[in-house]
Amino acid sequence: MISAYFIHLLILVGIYLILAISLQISIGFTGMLNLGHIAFFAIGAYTSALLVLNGFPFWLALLSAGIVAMVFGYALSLPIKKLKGDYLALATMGFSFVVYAVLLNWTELTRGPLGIPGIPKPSFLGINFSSNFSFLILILIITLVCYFLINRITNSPFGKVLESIRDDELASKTLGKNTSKAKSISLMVSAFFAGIAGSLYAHYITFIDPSSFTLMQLIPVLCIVIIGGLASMKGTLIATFIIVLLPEPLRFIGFPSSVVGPMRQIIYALFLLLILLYKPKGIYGKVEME
Amino acid sequence: MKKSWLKLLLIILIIALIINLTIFIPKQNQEKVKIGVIMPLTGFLANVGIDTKNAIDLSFSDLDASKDVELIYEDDACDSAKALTAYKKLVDVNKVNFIIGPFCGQSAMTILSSLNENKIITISPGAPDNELSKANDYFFRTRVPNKAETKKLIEFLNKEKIKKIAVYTAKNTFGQSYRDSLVNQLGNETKIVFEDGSSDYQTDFKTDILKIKEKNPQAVFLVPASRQQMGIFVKQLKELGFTPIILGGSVTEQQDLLDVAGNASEGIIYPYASPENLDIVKEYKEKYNKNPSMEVLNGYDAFSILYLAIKECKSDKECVRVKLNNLKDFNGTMGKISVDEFGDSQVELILKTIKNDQFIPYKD
Repeated sequence: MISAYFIHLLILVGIYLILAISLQISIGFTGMLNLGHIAFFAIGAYTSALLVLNGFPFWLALLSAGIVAMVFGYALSLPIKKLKGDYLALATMGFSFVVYAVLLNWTELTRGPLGIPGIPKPSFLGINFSSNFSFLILILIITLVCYFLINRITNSPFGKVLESIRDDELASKTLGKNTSKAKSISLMVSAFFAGIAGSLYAHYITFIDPSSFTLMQLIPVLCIVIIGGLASMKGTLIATFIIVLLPEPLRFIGFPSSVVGPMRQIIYALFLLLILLYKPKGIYGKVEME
Repeated sequence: MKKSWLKLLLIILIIALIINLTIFIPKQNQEKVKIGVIMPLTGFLANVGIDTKNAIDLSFSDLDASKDVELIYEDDACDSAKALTAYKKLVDVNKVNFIIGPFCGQSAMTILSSLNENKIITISPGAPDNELSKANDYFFRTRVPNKAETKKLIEFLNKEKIKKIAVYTAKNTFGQSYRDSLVNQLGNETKIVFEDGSSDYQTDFKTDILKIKEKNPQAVFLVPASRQQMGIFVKQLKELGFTPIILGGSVTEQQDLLDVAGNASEGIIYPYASPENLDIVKEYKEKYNKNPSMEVLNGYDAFSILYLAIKECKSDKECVRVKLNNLKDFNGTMGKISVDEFGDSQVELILKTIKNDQFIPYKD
């Protein structure tokens, strides 16, 4: 019998994997340093939670979470289409602050800082996914589907266009590629899958509030993308397991209670540093981050 | 090619090690009753979490509980996902039947649905959010809910005939809960002329203070995210030459505020439970070199109450739950504690103020 604690960790791995591979589309494959990704995660979570709590079925809420996030992805792509590098990063970061401010202050819709409690576990095709194990199966299926789809997209001719934009946008333009449109689609697709991850997160944690979707929460996801290696799906998969599971064995080391919290953080940070020192391009990295 | 295989093998070995450590549950000591403690030991509330942990440890040693009980600490950093992970680990791996915590409201809200599933008795020294009242049959609190504190402040407002008030609370579950309590209980005699709040790491309040000043309220209800923020706020208030009555929550009383605000904190009025067991306050101060705040003493009481129930019931969860539900006039550090029908502690509150860097009872 698998430990319920381990099932919980695997569920978190699934959610973070979808979030990380969706971020790979914009950062790894298109070369857009998108620091607003956590905002799409938040939009997906809130959309799904609000719909289900208002009587809509889970499958509709899940798809809507992706679609609404995708619409916001499109909206974000319009003002940033001419931005590159640090300016793009700042603009997308600004977007994440805007979304956070809306979630915090639009109390009539989101309940503001009080958050949304009591989000039910999913129910789909007559099956209730309230137990941890059944939820794990659901996450596994959705994660596999997302992984497969993103893999297909990135290995398709469109994926090659995205990589050409990352490597040399000017050259790509001179070859007749509509790079603005491609970047917009890339951001939209990335946002869609982030919204899906947000929906799954909301229905698993059962309580969401704006503090769960700040820029700080993007840092582990960025770590996964960088440690796994840019534009590497395989690396992202392995890095997700490492980043999510690495702190856990440290709980069993038996630190004195006076230092248990900070020691785990220090050791975790040291491990990450070692990985990056030994493998600066990431585990399966193909490109370096400029 | 060989290098690539070696790399893959190394990664698989690391993951296998991680899986091995997480999936195989170590042999448990069956003799002692296990109590899990979920506290923010890192993050922006780490100082309060560590102080509360110290109070729990003090209660543990004062009651000589080591022969009956084992405490297992986990850090949640006031994060929902980390709180759920800590909870799952404590319940599934450590097989705890009782939990002290979580301290933060959002962490408590996250684990609520799991409490029913596992029937884990949980007693929190923090989490004052009003929505946690009667949220769950297995959730108790030694901290009085915010609505009890704001009720005391509104009595003051009515008595002093204060007509205009500004509300400035943290934009998180903690601050919003205070704000909602005040707004819901406020009568028609007092009008809120300004309302806004601070983010968790904000340090510049001058723009907001100038907006408040424009409205000229007689009092400001101030509950930011931390005492350091409160100290900075009142200091900047004084610098801008605006001196309304400042009303705070029970979290006001702590040396951190005086260290940051200095004499700008003079005259802040706040509700507080007057500690009756001064020996414990003195003992805490001698051991940890700081005065324990109310929430810290709540941690002491949380362990005491739970331990005494466990001494009678051992690991029988239902027995402990009934004991906690029926708790009346328990001699806690903050006076006599009774648990109401909502699972909340009822403690008598008084108004206190700051004068000459001392926290003293407020007199008209």
